Amino acid sequence: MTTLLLVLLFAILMLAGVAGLVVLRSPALKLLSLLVAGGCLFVLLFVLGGARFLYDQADASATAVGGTKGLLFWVFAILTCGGAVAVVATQNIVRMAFWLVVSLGSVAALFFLLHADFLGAAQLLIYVGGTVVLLVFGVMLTASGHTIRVQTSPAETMLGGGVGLILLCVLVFAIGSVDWADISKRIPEAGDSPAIADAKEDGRLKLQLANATKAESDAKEGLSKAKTDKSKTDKSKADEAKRALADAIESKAEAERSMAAVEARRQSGRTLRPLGLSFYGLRPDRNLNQPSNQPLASGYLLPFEIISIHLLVVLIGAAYLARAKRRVTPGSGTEL
Amino acid sequence: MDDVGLEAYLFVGAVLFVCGVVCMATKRNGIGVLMGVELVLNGANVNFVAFARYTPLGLDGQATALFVVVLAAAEAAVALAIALNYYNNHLTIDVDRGNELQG
Repeated sequence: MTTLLLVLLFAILMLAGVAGLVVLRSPALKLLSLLVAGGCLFVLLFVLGGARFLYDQADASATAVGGTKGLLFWVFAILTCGGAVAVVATQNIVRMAFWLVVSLGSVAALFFLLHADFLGAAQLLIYVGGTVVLLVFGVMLTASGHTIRVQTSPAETMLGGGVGLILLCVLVFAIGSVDWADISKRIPEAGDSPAIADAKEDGRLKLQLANATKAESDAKEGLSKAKTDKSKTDKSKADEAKRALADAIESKAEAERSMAAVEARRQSGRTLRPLGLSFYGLRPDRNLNQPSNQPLASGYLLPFEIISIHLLVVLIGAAYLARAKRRVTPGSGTEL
Repeated sequence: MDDVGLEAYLFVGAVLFVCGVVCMATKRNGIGVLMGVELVLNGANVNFVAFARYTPLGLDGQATALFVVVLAAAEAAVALAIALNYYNNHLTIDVDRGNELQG
């Protein structure tokens, strides 16, 4: 809890530093706020790393990972929403493009947090690297002094903001009034969602490891008891205890190996290969022989082909639309 | 608390959607309107990917989100070409001035 407070405090300080960097005019104050923001960023990184280390020491690594993940979610959710609000609030079109980059980049981070690694990379490449650069080029080609800042009248802004707030209230009410945990149960024979499957796998592995650890300590105890009782009992009991200990150590190593294997499989990414196969019409993540009432159970070969043709048409159309117009000069009748 | 859950992502998607709609409605700069469209599409994408993670629908959400990303890039290219044409003809990018097609 104290770690969370510390993180919040330094996050607010860092935001204040960034705000000072933007707002303040004097170069010395700008430098000061840059120092404050940078220092707070370093402290934040240190606290986050240190907190992870402390949680791991306390043998609660699962909650630590969940906690770090939750914290990362809140950081990137605030960046996403703040960037989107700043896009709406800013009047300068170039600054709007910057805030759009912040918002879309944070959406990519949210995709990574949702275990959609390929989609997050595609978002960074196509949106942040392609679309926004295209928009900025459009800004540069159309901006000429008076057009860079086209003001909206305050009445229109307030009206739009009011309508937006009402729409947001409606959406939030709609989201809050649905029991989303119940949705998964309404889709029969589809199994668990990926999040629940991961949690179940984690629980199973952890239980296996705990059982193996307990068996090992029991076997050790039995061995020491057999050694002290050696005087009056036969040697076979001691041998048996030794064998049990060896078995327990072996099963514990096995549990640790399977845990490491699952961790490695998760860290190597899980969506690229199934996504690529689904664009060829194959669904490795779903058993298509099983009778199912899900209409979307097949692959995506046809949409993939349609979208490739669509991209070609768009390429030709955009080049046709944006090309320099040939004007016919009056009198001469020839095209320039 | 193992994970933040579906609702949190849906809230983020809703905020993105509303910001995009307000941006489309209030901006007079044509490229600002395009940025609003991008925000709306991203809000939809956040919802798609969150549903792919938290419901047993599997990869369908992620595949749809990929199509949306590609279509958004194509849409931005065509819309920018139209905006450039509009600027060449009118010497402004203010969408309120584009009312010549009114009957």
